[in-house]
Amino acid sequence: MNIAGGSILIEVNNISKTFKLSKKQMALDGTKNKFKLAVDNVSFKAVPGEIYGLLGPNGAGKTTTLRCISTLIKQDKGSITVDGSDSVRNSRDVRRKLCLLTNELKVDPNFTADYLFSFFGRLHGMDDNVINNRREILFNEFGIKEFADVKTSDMSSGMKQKLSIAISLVHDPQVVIFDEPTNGLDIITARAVMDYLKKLRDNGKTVVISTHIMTVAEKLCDKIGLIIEGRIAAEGTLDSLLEETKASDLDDAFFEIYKRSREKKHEE
Amino acid sequence: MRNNIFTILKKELKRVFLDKKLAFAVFIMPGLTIALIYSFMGGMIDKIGDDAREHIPVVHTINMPMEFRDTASAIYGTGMVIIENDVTEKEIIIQNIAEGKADVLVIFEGNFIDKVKDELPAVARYTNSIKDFSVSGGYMVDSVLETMRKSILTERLGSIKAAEVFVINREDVAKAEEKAGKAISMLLPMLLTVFLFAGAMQVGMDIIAGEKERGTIATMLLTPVKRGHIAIGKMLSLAIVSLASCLSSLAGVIISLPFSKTMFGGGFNIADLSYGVSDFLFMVIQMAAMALSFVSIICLLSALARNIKEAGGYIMPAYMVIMIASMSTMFMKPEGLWSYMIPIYGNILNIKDILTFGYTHRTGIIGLVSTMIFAAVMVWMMVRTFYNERIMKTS
Repeated sequence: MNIAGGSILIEVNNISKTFKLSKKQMALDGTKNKFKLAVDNVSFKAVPGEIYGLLGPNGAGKTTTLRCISTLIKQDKGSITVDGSDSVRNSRDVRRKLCLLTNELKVDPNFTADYLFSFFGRLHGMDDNVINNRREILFNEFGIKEFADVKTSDMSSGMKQKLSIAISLVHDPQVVIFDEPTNGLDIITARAVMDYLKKLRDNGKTVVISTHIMTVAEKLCDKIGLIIEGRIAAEGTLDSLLEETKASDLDDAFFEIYKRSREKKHEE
Repeated sequence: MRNNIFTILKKELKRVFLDKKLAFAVFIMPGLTIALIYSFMGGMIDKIGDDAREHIPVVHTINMPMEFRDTASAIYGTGMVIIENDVTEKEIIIQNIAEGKADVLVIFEGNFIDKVKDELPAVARYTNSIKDFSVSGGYMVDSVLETMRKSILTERLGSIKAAEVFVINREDVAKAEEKAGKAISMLLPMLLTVFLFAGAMQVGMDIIAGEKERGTIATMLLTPVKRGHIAIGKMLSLAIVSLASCLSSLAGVIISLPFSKTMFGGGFNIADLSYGVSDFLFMVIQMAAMALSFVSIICLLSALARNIKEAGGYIMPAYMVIMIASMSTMFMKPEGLWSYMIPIYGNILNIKDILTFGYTHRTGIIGLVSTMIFAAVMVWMMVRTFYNERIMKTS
């Protein structure tokens, strides 16, 4: 269902990604197979004014999918287009149009918030006036103004997280990808982030998030793709998923789909 | 493109210059440490020489002829103490020399002067080669014995001319500046090479491996900037840091020269080191080429490492190889033009040539071209690693 009715901004077509495992990883996974299929034929579409959620347990392939979309890694098969740009052939165009937010992204401890914001603005090809306008908007939005001149090494982890988000949004991207948006955040910051994602959606941005927390998906996502063992096992709005599984909440719906998915795999 | 590289270069330089402790460690500390250490070492070496010269050696003798005492007193006056001993004391004196309590023992055969007339009597001289005073005392005794020998020969043959066949007049046609250059070129090229690498190593490990370890590089990789430009921006900033750090070390060497010239071989006057602006310019060009090669090696190894510790493990063997290459120029001479074609080694040879006033543009260009080709290959490999998602893991 196209909530906002806009044109398709992200189109993921049958992508697969295999990783070569180190001996240590093989031992941890308890496998003798050197290769791990992290993403298996995943397809979905996201449109402007929509929050699309990839919901699944740890290791299901959510982060790998998001990293493929954001061009940090390349898929082995399939294609991804972001606003018409191919993620492999036109990766720089794709990076101009999106941002990836994740708790893994850290800010350089040697600089102030002000400097880092300007630095990344310049790397996005923005001139100083535009950077200053964006700084005004984002620093106000995330309450960074008071610590704009503080070196990031002297900031709390919450402050760093806010700055990391502001920096990622410096170029006002059309697509916002957020890997586990509330992970590691205190309850107030988590709420602020969720509210901000809704605001982005309302402003016509395309938002894609990954989460393993059902309540986040319930509250935030217009469309949910349940990803299990690298595959999209089900996709739809919250209501359609509940209806399909005859479940009362997303938690129950997820386990029903998980059960069906395991059975299907067993049959295969 | 140029803008992005420049933005990254500026940021990396700002990181070094803003961090007062790091800036001090990279730009001030090397020069300061070298000036202090070299001055101290030079001072110590001079002091050892001065002490040996000022020391009055105690020379024990057995069966000493009067001629020995007379000759010693004519040459050294009161600068040598001569003690006559009995042959029974020989072992005790040798023991004392071994323990540093005595300097020299000279044993003449009995009736030495009589035997000299128609026999070949022996003189035994005992010193301790690990005791400076004993060694310098031994040289003084040799000088006394040589004078005594000439005196006896003159007496025997009627004149000194009959005792000598010819006289050798040794003339050195080397210019004073060349002699000074040769002395300074013994150690300095090796030191400059080591300083260049060490200066780049300190910051280089942090600039890529450090960013990978901290997880800050991923934010940069998510911008539309080409990964190659990120790599080159970082590398160029490191080359500047390395060169500046090396110049600081060079300044340290120059400041220490009045006190440390003995360490560089001595026997020259600092005022004779009359290098021109072009000499310094050619030297900086050769150093810049080396700096580029070094930072490309360091950046490549740093990019391959997962963290700073691992980067250190990869870079240290490369540092050893560079040290061996630079040390070899102290003892080996270039064997034709091909020696200058060896990347880095050719630059060290060129610096040595500049210091000894023997530089030619032909060898200079050969050294530069070979090193730049090497650096270009390293840069290409480093850029490839930035595109390799297995190496450039971002989480």
